[in-house]
Amino acid sequence: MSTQKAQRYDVVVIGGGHNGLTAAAYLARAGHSVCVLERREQIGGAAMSEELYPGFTYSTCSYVASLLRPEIMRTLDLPSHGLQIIPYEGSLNVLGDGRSLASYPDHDRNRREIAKFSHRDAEAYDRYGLEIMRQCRFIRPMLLMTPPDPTSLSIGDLKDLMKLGGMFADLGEQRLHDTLRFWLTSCGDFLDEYFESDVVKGHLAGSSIIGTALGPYSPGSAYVLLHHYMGEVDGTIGAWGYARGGMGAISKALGSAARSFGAEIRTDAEVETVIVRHGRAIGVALANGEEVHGRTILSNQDFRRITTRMKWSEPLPEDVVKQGRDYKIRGSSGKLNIALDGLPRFTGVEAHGTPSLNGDIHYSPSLEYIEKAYDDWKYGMWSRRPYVDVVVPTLIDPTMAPDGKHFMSVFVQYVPPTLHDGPWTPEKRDAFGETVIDLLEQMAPGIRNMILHKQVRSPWDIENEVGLSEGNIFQGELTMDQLMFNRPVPGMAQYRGPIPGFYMCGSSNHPGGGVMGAPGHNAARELMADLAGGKV
Amino acid sequence: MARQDFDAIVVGAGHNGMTAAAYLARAGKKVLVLEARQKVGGMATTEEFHPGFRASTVAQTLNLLHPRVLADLDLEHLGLTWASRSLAPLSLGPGGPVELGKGHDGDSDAWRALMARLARYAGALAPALPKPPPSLATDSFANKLEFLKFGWGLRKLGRRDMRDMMRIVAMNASDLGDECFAGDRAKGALAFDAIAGTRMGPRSPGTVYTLLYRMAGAINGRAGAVGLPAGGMGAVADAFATAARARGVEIRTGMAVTGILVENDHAVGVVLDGGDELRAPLVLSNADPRTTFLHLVGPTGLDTLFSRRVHHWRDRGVMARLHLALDAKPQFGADVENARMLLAESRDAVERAFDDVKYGAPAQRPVMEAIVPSLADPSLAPDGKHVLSATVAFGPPGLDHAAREAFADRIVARLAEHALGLPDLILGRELLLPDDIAARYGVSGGHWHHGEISLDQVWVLRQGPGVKPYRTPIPGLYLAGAGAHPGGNITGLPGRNAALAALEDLANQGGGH
Repeated sequence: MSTQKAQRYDVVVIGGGHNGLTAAAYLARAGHSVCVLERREQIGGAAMSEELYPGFTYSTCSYVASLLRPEIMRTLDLPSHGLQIIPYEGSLNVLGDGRSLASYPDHDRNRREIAKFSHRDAEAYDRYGLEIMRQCRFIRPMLLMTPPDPTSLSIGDLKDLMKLGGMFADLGEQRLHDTLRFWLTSCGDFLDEYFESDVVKGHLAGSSIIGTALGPYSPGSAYVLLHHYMGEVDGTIGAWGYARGGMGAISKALGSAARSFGAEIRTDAEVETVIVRHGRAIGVALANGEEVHGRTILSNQDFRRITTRMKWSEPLPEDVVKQGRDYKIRGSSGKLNIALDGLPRFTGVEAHGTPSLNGDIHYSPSLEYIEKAYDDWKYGMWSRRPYVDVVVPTLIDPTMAPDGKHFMSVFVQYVPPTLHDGPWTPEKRDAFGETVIDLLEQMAPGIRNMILHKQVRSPWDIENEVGLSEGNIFQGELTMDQLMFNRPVPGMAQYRGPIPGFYMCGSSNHPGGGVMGAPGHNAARELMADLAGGKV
Repeated sequence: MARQDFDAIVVGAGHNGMTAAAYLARAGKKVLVLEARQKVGGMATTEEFHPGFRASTVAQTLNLLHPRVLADLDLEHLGLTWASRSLAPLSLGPGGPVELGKGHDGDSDAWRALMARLARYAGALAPALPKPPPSLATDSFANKLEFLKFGWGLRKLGRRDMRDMMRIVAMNASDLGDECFAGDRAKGALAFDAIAGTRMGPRSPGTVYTLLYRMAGAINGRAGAVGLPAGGMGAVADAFATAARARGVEIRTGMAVTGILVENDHAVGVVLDGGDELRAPLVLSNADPRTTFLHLVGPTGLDTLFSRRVHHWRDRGVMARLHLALDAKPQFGADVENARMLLAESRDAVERAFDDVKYGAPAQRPVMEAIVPSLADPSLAPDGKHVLSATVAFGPPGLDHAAREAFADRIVARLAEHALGLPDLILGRELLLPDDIAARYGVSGGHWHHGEISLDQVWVLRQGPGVKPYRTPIPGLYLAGAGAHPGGNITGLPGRNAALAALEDLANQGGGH
């Protein structure tokens, strides 16, 4: 241990992911002294831009800015810190046999597209859109709320519980019934109630399974749809879009905002131990032995990592460690980042001038296709026929690649964190990459020969680089047993961690994952309340 | 005014229909029960499947029969006796039988701890089962009070248990097994118990709830016990029938109802096969929601939203039953007289069986619960001979003859892995797949619970919005079967509550005039 007097801050933030930075910015803005400690040489965590091939900027992990809360964008004035979100439109399902289904923000075009597969479904889409919109409207005010604790008898919790109960009651019987069912049912059953065409259902179902260890027919997967639609309805910021310069631009802007308010951000500063005295967190020790002290510690790490990987100078209670081990944080996604020599031609899609290529592109012929991809994952295999979500941000953001060349991000569902025949190896990773490229080749013949460079990442790689347990992109499954007052675990859902003085702001906390900033925002609010109330 | 034949007509003499009839008759109503089959009981029945051999064809064990119904109908004095009051779970798998929760090796302690934990939570749910669920139209004070009472019941568990329950009630059985057990056998047994009767796999979120539902009953005060009625489930049905008749109910078998008469938007009677009409101001349907609304009432009598909801009601049965007539006692290498044998050696074994049925195929390697009821109840088979009955996951509808035979062979082969020589003992066998159950007992999809017992179809979500529990959009028509809260199994509760709802409405009408 170092003998020099450790610096002391109001808040020491472990991890400079977008939530840690958001929290730091809010805390510093309120006048608190804040120090963010990031293990890597660059801030951003999973919202990162990196030049891994000369001239190409990769959004290495997260690849679309869909959910960043407009409240945060405005309060922290992120545009003045260089953040520009470029909206994109549409989504395209390429079936590889010349057929395709595209969706656009244009209602009439959408109908025509869906009618290619089913006239009845084109009619049903209006009803479906309305229902999804309603569900999003209902849940949006909850995102920036601290979940009340139903087991608490404190006035504050009871008041919040009543308020939440009131929100539900205000829906009225029919809507409340539909809402509860929606939260509990499977995406497949939900879509079956509206649509008949396999292609239409497959096209819509992707959003219910991205990042989760559920199949489209697993109960609870309908709710996950919302985590990908919540941004879409938020017209104010054109919510589905790219951050100019890649996802790292969001982290850079948040970092810049935090610094402008006086927060200190240190990179290459790996926290190894949380220092605990008499049951309170009072600081951290870095890998190099240096200590940084704080009145409070705020961790951006996932709950599993906090409880089972982080060292604590006084051990955590055994039952907390058990809760951390049992926390469902399943690695289920992989990623290919590809530098392309040109723009690939997707079968059945015009080479240029087709706006739908500007959005996300998938291969998703049916619910059954996705469900089978999930089956492989259950038994420790990457999907032999995976679900892919492809974006080519360079079509609208030319800053990310040289002229005429493109960066392509390929998100892959499902990929297990360890394989049935043992851990990941470089050979297995290559084989996984080939599986994905075979599928891409089917969607866009000739693409294989356009690849200048590729980076293939398994959940294991994501865990190692970014520090997300099992490589789970949401820092924990978005199932009912881990949402709202159950996130990450009942009794710790108010951003307060296992011991006094220790707080949590990662996506393991309500409302969960996506580059949303809400957990960071909410944690900062709770921490400030405790600082102001003299509780810490 | 049309001629009234009866005060109430009950469609279907399942145990719930007879319960409803008995409660109505107890209140002085003249009640007629119409049953399409030649015998009462519906899916609660004992039938000869091979000369001299009888089995409880669909419902096998009693675990949720509500003590209130038991006492009100005096069933224990009317012929309900027990062959076994408690069947213990016995896992069969590689390495021989394992008595779950017995001894101290392996996962035994963990099994007992989990069962005790689940029993506490099931106990917190239990008070909600016999009560009509509160309405989601929460404007009334009484309704809000019901929700608060339910919340208070959970609070009484204590903070630690309440937190744990909030989390695990929405979890899946696979994760719960991983949290609690080290070995495959306990995980497999838990997985099977959680999915039995449903179209879900161990990894489907919410399967822990189905387990809690099953454990929410008690036999003679023993929470979560699984009992075997003497004489098979048909003896239980007969006790219900006796109870109903003793109160003056008329039960006519062999009379199929083909429609429910609706006039001026009110149910006024039923149409019989052949066209005859019978009239009564109250009609209680023991049939499942799909049959009741889409077939007996017909979609033209319903508003679009309601019929769409019934149309999407999830009632696709995928459980099969196999009955074997055996020439001698099968040798499972353990005493199985008071056991329910679980052939589900791991969580993945159950999951893979589910994978097959998801895509419409019968399980390549079925998992099951098997019982030899004739050991405790010799009345089911000739002297020295035996009956084996299995509840098998998963068998889809729509199999042709060859596929059915192959599936039955695979089930027998699975059993023979643990009882050498079993195939040579088989004198006869009967396989009931969902479409057999649908055809024979008139239940849509052949689903025992008249609709999935999953979180999106239970309690306040079991009835449609805008409809009070046990009522329907058609005044005078009541839902008295497992499609109403709390759901399937032999509980007597939907029947009882539907009758009480009908009586309450009558009393209110009377007061209004």
